[in-house]
Amino acid sequence: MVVNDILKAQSEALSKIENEKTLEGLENLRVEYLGKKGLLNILSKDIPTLTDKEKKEVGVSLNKAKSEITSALGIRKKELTNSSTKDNPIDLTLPGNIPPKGSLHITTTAIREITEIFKKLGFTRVRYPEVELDYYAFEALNMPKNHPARDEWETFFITDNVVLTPHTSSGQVREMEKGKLPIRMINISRCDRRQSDVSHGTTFFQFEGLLIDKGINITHLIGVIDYFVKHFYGPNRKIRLRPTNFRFTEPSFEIDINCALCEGRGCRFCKEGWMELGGSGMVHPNVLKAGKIDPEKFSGFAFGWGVERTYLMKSGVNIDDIRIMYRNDLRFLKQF
Amino acid sequence: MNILVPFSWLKDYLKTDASAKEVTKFVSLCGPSIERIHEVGGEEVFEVEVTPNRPDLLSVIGLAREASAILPRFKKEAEFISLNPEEFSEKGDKDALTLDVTIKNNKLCPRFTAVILDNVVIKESPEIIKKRLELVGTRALNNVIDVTNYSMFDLGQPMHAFDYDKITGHKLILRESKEGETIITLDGVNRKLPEDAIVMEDGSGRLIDLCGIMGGKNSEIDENTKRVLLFVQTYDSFKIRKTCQAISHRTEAAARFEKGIDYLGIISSLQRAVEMLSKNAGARVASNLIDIEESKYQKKLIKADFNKINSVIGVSIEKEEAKAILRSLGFIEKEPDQYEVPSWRYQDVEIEEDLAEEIARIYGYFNLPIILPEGIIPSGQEDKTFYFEDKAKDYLKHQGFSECVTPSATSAEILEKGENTPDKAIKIKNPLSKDFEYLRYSLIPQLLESIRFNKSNFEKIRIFELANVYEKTDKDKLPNEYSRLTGIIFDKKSTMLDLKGTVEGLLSELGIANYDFEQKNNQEADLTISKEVVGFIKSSIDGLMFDLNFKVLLKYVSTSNSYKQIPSVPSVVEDLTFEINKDEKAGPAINFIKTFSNEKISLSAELTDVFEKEDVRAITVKIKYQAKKENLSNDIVAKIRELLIKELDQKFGVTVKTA
Repeated sequence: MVVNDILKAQSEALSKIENEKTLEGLENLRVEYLGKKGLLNILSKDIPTLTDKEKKEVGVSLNKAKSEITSALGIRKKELTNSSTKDNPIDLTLPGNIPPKGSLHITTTAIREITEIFKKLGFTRVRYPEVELDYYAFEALNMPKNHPARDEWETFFITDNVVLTPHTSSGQVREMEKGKLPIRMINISRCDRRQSDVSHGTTFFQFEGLLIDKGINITHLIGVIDYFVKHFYGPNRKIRLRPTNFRFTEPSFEIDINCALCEGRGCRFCKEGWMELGGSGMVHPNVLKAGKIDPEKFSGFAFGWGVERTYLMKSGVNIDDIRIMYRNDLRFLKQF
Repeated sequence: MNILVPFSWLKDYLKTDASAKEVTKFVSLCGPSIERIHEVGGEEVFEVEVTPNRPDLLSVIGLAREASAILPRFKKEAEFISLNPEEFSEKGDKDALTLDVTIKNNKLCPRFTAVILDNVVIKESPEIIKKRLELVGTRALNNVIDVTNYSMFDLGQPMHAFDYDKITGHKLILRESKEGETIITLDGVNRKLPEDAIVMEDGSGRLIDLCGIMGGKNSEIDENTKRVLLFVQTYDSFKIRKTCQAISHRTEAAARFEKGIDYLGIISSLQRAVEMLSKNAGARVASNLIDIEESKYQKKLIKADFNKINSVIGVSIEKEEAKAILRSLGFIEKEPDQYEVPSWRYQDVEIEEDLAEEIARIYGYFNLPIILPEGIIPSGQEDKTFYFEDKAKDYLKHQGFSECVTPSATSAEILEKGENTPDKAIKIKNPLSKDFEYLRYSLIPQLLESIRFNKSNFEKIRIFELANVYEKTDKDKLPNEYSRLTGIIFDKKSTMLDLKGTVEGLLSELGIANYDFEQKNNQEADLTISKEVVGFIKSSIDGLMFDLNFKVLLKYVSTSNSYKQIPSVPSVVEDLTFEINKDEKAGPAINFIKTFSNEKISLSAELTDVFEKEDVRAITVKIKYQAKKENLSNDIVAKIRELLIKELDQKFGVTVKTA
């Protein structure tokens, strides 16, 4: 039973050492346990009376106890020595040493927030080529070569058949071609258009929602977009649909959101109390056909909006020139 | 495109009690968006955004027709006052003037309509015409040209007036241009034409009209004009569009022709213009109506299955209400549930879904309920790429890096500064400017540009970008597009080992354990995984950079953590210092220590100090001997140490000095 006594002494010692607040007290503990007349020495006095097997066991425990207590004393001594700050006054009015602080680009933050909301509705994030075939960017979307509707997309061409994708809608038919139904896709990607002014950079990001299932109608489009708007912008925000035209949706809608600043009275940030979010619509039967989906059985809706614009409208960050986002001035980047 | 429509002009065709504000609000909800009301000299002028599918709305009459269908839904009176669709009523004299017309290709001009007027006196237009033209942003010129412009805004039908006496031989040949032909247009510009533009030449073979876009200077109306050839056409819209693109010039007329005009509205437009010319210029019809129809108008019928239409909209709209809406927009029920598309909507309305849109928008989108779709959530996991991208970005952010997003393309100059060759990069066929001309095949040049840009404001810079690059492949094929992760550290203190450590920490974060750095020289090392080069670290005057093929890295990432039992017996830790020649590498020796384990004991080594002497380096590592089961005695440790020292000497020629 000596072994038990040793273990008890060891744990008692370790606990006392850990709680000791002064160097003097620590020295007293050393003497108490490890000193000539210390507890461990007293316990070792019985060893000669034991059997060989017991001797060995007790020996091992005793060595272990000594080494652990010694090590604990050493560690605690260091701690107590270092923390003796009474004599070293410090000026805590000086600035702290902040570790280097990095930042994520505002579009990354925006994309994460947007993705999270659509995930809850069962949408899965995907991404498709940024340099894309004219077929997916236009032709499969009911815009044959030379169609005047193409003018709305100021497109960069590499060859007659290869473009820098001007919108995430290029992902619609690619997603359909996977051959899996129903579809709940959120496609977020870099896009490029041939325009550069205070509200357009050549490079920008879009997110595109696509839902295809049986019996999908306009009220569902309103439902999903309303859900997004209430979760992204706040529960008091409302949307409205206005007619517009896209070749790849029929009917097509412009989605507006009520202005949070003037609450509908009209102000310099909005148009008569409404702000434009972006386009949407019911997927055109020709697009479903291009994606090998039978428009008699399935229907769906899609929307594709600018990430930057959608996010800036939320954060209330007032950026005069959107191109600053891609100029990579650290004075800008580090603010986000 | 946006057009201007004065409210007072709109009232020519719309009898309503709605105010301009009400028209704006209600029409925007159900029809074209009225962007704002301009107040010009006491006049309210609507600015209307017209989508390309609705050329009929590029006219005052079109907007009036649309408003007349919408306003009553908001309990506003609205009556559409239409033009008389009657046939051309004027008849020429016995000794009628003639025009010899040849159309070379009947596809170019589906309907060629003209009339010759004489007795014309050129002067200013009446005040109301001048004022209205001014309100819609067009300068009044004279009483003949003004009528052609006025008609275009009023009815959506572009027209052109020639001086009849300037047309040699009173002969016109309508044909396609040959490449390189030129014409001086009304604006005085000498335009070099592409192949296939639609043009007209006269009896002398000179071009007198760039059809659908702008007339020729040589046949224009001037103050001496007595006889006028008034011209109303339709053209092959694709050809008009192509020509506008080729000559980079689009006129108001071309913007309408390329979208398609109302085929059945031509005669009433001509009639209307003739009436105005006789009133404003004393003109008298001096020819028979020239009306060459190269293709007959085909009525377009669309089936309306009102159940299907309701299933698109999502609510049950009463059949009678739906029918009333279609009627209000000019759709005529020819047979039960068969609707004839109005001629002014010919190009736009094609399928049943189009009818659903017409019914739904007039019924009011605001009347539809908000419903979340039911149905199953598609199975299948998200591409893990996004998870690891986020991990990498977050890791770097917490190491003090700022994420950059640079444009997909850049200039030759920036490429060259970043030691990339423009010839290797994919070139954009129609660049906007030199700044955005070559697709990048590396992220380095633009990040270096960012370093140069930020240098003046920051002493310490850490930036990274995770984005796609594009490598050339065969023409007309998609490029090899894949993601890279590139970062640059620019400061005075950081070393190559800091850089290497950053990358190692990143790899560890991504769950990549087995990799090598193959040093190439004093500035550069390749990162390899399973012998595959996945990137490099490099030191240059512009900073320390890492550049990784993120797509390849993704092959090696892992999320699974395996659990190793925490040892129950204490370890022995000691310092060990060895000396090695300065020109030799110490890494392999340190790695060797780590591998010096057996079934009972494992060793780990951590570099604690490097001390440079004259021609040797003293490397100190902290070695931890960890037994798996039993306690380590000094004897066992001593034995292993002895063996280790011997082997280090034999294998690496390093001398160990024990502490």
